[in-house]
Amino acid sequence: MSGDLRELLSRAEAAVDFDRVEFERRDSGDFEDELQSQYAAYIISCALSNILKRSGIRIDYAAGYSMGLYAALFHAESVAFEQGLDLITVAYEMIRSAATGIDFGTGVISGLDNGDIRSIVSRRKDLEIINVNNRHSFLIAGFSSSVTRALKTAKKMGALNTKFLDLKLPYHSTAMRDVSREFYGYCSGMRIYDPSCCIISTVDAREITSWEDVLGDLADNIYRNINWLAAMERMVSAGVDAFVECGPGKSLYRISQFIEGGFSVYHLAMLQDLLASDRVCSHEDALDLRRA
Amino acid sequence: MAKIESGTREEVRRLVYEFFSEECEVPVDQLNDGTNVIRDLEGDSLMFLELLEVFKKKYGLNVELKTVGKYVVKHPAETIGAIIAMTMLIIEHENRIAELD
Repeated sequence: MSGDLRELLSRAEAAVDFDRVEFERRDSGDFEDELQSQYAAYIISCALSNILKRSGIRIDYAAGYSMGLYAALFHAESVAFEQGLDLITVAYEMIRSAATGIDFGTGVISGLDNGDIRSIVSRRKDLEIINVNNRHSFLIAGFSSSVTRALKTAKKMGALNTKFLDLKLPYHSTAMRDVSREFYGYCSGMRIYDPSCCIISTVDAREITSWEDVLGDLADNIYRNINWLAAMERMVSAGVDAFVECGPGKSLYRISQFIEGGFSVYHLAMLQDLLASDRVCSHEDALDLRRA
Repeated sequence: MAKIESGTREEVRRLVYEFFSEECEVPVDQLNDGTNVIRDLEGDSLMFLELLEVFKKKYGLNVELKTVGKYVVKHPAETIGAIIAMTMLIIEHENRIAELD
């Protein structure tokens, strides 16, 4: 375990009800509890962010997948580490409270295209596509019974895989519009700084460059559907040719295999390769440049 | 339909083993045809999509994912051996795989 992670784990323990023992036991950040999972992913992402910065890797753009927004804001120095934990907690509690009594479900469908998925969700009013991962992978959400039925339909249509996910809270669902307003009110009372690098919104791929934009995106992220594919395409079209996945695992690395463009994605296990590559300017390189 | 040459099966076998070894971070010598990708390697659907993409590019295959999906519903392939066999069928029949029993 790196010193960065150790330090952040201690700070998280002090700030929120984070189960460090369980975290260390699981070693992957993959909790059964949704809130603990979010804490774990956030802490790991922030630790990686610190390592990147210390290694001299300058980031032009940041984007956060789903609740990864808070880690992106931490990286962009728009919020402090403890503020990010607080935002995760408050968003979770607000959504949980609003969704009490609703049998909500989320599912993933792989192997169909956007048109197929749209035709499936159009059959039930409560269904929506809450995230477009790439051109072959989609997250849908709605009442559990509707999601189950939609997954069966998808399978019949030729989906290579469908899976009902263990996500019970309706993040990114339009049903959370009121929660979004409440969350906006909460965030308005926080000290949020202009991002030090451009953040790409996963809601509509817009550039977020001011604290006012951040505030808007925090609220949007609660109730608006997200489109990871569009955010990635936006960055690729801006010329980004190297991405670093700051988080546990390599889900985004794998999702990116189905996104067009000449770019590389480095996940956690590839970080050493990146740091050793000529894409990263070493201290000696920098001195040479200075002398030249 | 892609032409199956004498070395194709061995090439497919090697690529499939290398793919799962790298993706699942398991040494190749710990894998065998009976290894269940979902249960033993904690793999998921995106891996199969990725693998399919690799072969589509490598052999210039004209095959729709939906067609493969419909075939998989009838003929689930969860072990490495079954995935190799199915990949060979996809290379051989492309979209006509749907016509197979």
